[in-house]
Amino acid sequence: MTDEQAPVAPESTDETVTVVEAAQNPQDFIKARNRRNVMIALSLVGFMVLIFSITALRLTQNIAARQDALATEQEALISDEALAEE
Amino acid sequence: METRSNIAMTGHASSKPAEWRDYVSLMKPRVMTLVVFTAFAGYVAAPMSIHPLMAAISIFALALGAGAAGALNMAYDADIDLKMRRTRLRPVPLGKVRQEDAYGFGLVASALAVVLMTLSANMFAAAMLAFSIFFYAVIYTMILKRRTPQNIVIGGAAGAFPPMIGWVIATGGVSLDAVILFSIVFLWTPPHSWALALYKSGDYADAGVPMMPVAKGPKRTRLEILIYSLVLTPFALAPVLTGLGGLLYGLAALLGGAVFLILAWRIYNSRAGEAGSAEDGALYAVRVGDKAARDMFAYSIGYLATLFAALIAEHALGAYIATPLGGIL
Repeated sequence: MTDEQAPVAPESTDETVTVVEAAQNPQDFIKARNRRNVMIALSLVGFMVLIFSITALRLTQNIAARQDALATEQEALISDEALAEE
Repeated sequence: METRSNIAMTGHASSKPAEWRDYVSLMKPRVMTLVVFTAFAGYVAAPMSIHPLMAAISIFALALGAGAAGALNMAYDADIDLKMRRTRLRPVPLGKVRQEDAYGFGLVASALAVVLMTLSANMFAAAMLAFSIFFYAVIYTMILKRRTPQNIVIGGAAGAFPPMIGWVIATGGVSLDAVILFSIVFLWTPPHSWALALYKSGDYADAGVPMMPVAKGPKRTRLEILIYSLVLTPFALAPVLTGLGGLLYGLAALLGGAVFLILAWRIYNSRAGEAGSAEDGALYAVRVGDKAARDMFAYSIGYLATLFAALIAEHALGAYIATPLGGIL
């Protein structure tokens, strides 16, 4: 995915023939690498958006849950005080 | 002789540089589709639910994890993929993606998937996702696949986790229904995979993978397909007995199962797998004698998809009609 994938110095074996062909057009590698980099950047931005969304949603849910718990607690206190006054 | 380390460097079939699309194909998109589908079915069939956005992110995390496991599988199997007509055009054997890059991609995607699942669903779902990735990449790919003809029987568990994880995303726990959904996919995997292996047995033999037709022969494979089909098709009715599946699911399981059994019986009485492998690498290319196996392979995908589609229709689209058998289990 990086410079490592750029063509290497060819040796005279059949297996390296395609690498030799690739070495003849390094522009293709640079373009492909740039496209991959753009996709990685977009993926990272997407991941950040997901994490942000999860955090915002969890915060909203937790705040609502805490308010509910406080309201319940207050109701219980009020009813306890009313009982004590009686 | 090829080694794992030089395959990606030599690049047999392509001199084109890796594109982002090659990394997408590294994640086995077709498998991911089935994972998302069965996980969604498990999620909607569960009696509880979470916030829709959280659920969507959780299912995405599951798909990412499945793709990561696929990338690790392709990285490790690059040497045998190169020898098989069906798989030799994958990005690593083709030389488009280096083996090290495939490993790195798989590991990073696995970590991101588990983190996302932890944050969006719960620790239990994340742990199951991590285990299923480990099971597929290590237990199945690295240990079982090249050693035993039971490879896909045990390894099939990896593909059976998604509906159960979908259930755990919604409820935070496992129940009998979740185990039943897991078991349906688990029992479905051997007849499905062996039907493919029957008409691609030459490929597996060339690669030295001891799939059932290679290790035990086509006759034994045809018998095992029939036995697993006889177990699977009645078991697929279990959701009706627990009340998870309604009338629609029951009909799908009953009629779909009947056709499944007919095809399994047809394979058993055929000579599928005895002609060697198909001439070209296309997934559905087949010799005349192997047609029964090809039909079974194609139908089995539709069968599983229909079962889970019925569950989705019943629980997400309001098509659930209770049957008198519901609640027996």
